[in-house]
Amino acid sequence: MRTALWIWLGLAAAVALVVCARLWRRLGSRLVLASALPPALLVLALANFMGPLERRSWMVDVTKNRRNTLSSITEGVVDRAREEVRITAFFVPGEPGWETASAVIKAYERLSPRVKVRFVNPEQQPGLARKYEIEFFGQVVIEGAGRRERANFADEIDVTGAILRLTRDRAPRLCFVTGHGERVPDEITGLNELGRALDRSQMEFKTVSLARATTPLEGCDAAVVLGAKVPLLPEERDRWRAYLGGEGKAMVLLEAGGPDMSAWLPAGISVGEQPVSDAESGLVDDPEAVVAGIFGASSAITRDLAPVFLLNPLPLAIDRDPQGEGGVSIAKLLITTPTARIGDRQGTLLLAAGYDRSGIVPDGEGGRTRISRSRVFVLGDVDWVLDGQVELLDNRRLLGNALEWLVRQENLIDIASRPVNPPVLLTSSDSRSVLLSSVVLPPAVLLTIGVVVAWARRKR
Amino acid sequence: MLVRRELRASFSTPLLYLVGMPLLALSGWYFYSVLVGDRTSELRRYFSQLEFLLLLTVPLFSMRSIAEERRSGSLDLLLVRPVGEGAVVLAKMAGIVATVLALLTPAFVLFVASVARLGDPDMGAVAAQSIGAVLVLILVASIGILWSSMTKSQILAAAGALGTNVLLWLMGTGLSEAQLRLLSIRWHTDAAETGLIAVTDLAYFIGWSVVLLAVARLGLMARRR
Repeated sequence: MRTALWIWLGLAAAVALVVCARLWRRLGSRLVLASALPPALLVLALANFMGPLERRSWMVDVTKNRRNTLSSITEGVVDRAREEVRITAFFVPGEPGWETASAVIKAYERLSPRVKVRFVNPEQQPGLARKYEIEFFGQVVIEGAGRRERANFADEIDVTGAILRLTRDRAPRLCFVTGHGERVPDEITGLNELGRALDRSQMEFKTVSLARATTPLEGCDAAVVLGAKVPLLPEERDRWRAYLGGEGKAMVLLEAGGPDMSAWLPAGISVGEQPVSDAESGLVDDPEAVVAGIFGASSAITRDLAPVFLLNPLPLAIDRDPQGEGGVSIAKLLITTPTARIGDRQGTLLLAAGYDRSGIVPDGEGGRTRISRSRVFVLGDVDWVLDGQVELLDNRRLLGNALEWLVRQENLIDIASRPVNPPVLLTSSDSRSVLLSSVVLPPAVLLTIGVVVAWARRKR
Repeated sequence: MLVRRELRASFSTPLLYLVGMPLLALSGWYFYSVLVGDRTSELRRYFSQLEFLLLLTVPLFSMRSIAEERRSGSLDLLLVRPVGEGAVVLAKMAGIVATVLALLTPAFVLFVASVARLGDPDMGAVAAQSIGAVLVLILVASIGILWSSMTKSQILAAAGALGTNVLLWLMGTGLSEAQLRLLSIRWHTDAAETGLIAVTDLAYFIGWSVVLLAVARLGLMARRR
């Protein structure tokens, strides 16, 4: 910025010098100085004014939804980045949503001089798109500190989440709970794909037993329970409750036909014993399957998910207590169609919930406090993460979103989604009338005015 | 009074109609292609193209402003009047800006009405984009005035202004060094096109316009002496 300012000033000074030198003799020094001084002072004043400023401090966002303004959460994440962050957005200009998305990406560049942004058209640079393993238009790659992260959508939640992953001091650690017949990421239990996905997401994982230590989940960013088949022992239950009652984060996927699972769930969430059937949403070749394409809440987990999601076979329904404890929110993440059934009961049923409890707790000495947060993602089925099924529809993204939501420190869920301009619906008659009124009418009116002016002049 | 004189002179010459009709037709075509091609009520791409169009056409409006008056001798008559050189230069610039705005504004109102009928345009963004386009217009008019004040030849004035405009535009592309881009028109219209009003951009356009008009004024002062 400073270099550019000097170039700016230098050019102005050079122009002024050349002109002054030519006019000096003809005009006299006083006149030249009197004329050149005000603009020179103005340039200097502008330079002094502009120099120490960063662009973001002196901008007003006048758009309806303040689409160019990033949240304070994002500002904090970007400020904490110690090294350069390079954002490469793969867009085809003119694609739907491109305008809004590019405005958001450019807003990151304005936040900090350490953020560098470039836009790549994958149609013009297919080699670069291949190098970055771009799967679809609109993906954004974020690089820095020798690492690379990916955001599937060029919006604030995804991009800030990717920067956060990039700037984390260490990889998040997931602890897979064992000892109750749970599945863990390996070939034997059919979770090979899950293990690979965790590697790609730069998440570490290990297995833990609740029975073997008093604080088995210490050092874990989130615990994962995949289809427990045996009830918890009393000591295990106490440890699990202590974990969730503190700042524990957990993914609990339940399996139909198992024992009473309520001990795994936080207060305010319970699970039905009978599986859900939803003939209305079933696949043609698998009527038993439940395809859930209905998302109960706008959340970081289900946002922008493809409109279908497969649960096979027969998930359990989740119940939530709306009169839960204070500071707790339980989001309805995945719901069935109104035709779903459990036994004789019919209606819209909850299949997945996001439990979020936050509160202020003491932090060290001196009366300091901090926000404590516990989160649990509960889904009444485990088969959807198995090899062969995790690849189906949008299962992989649901899994990734849920894990990210659990291990994040920041509450990115609070970042509001920016509404994209709805497409303009043009009929062929609309198109014709716009063509006439924009391309033909204005020049025709000007031509008419010209003819009238010429005629009036000739008459005079 | 001087601005009115400039406006009257502009609308009584065939040049305005010869340049104005293609300008309006192209501007309308850009609007149509953005609306039908992108199917969005977002006008950012239209404004980007309109600004480039202004770089190409405004030199044709500004080339006569002082050069023609010098050639015909009417500049000397103007300068013997009790008006300052600064007022003359400002009136020339304001005359060009008013002429182009008089050409484009009715069509633009029609465009916005079309978008509002078919979609839901962000009027805040449209306002910022319009301000950006007007700032570009003021700067390129100032460049044109300076070139017109330096020569008797209208062709040379138009070619010089056109070359300067294109150079200032190209500085904002991938062809130029990153630091040079900060000097380009393209760089400073970007924020307005996305719906942001930036003080640095206002300073760039107004600052440069003032410097260029001040230099043009010096040229007129030298002539009066």
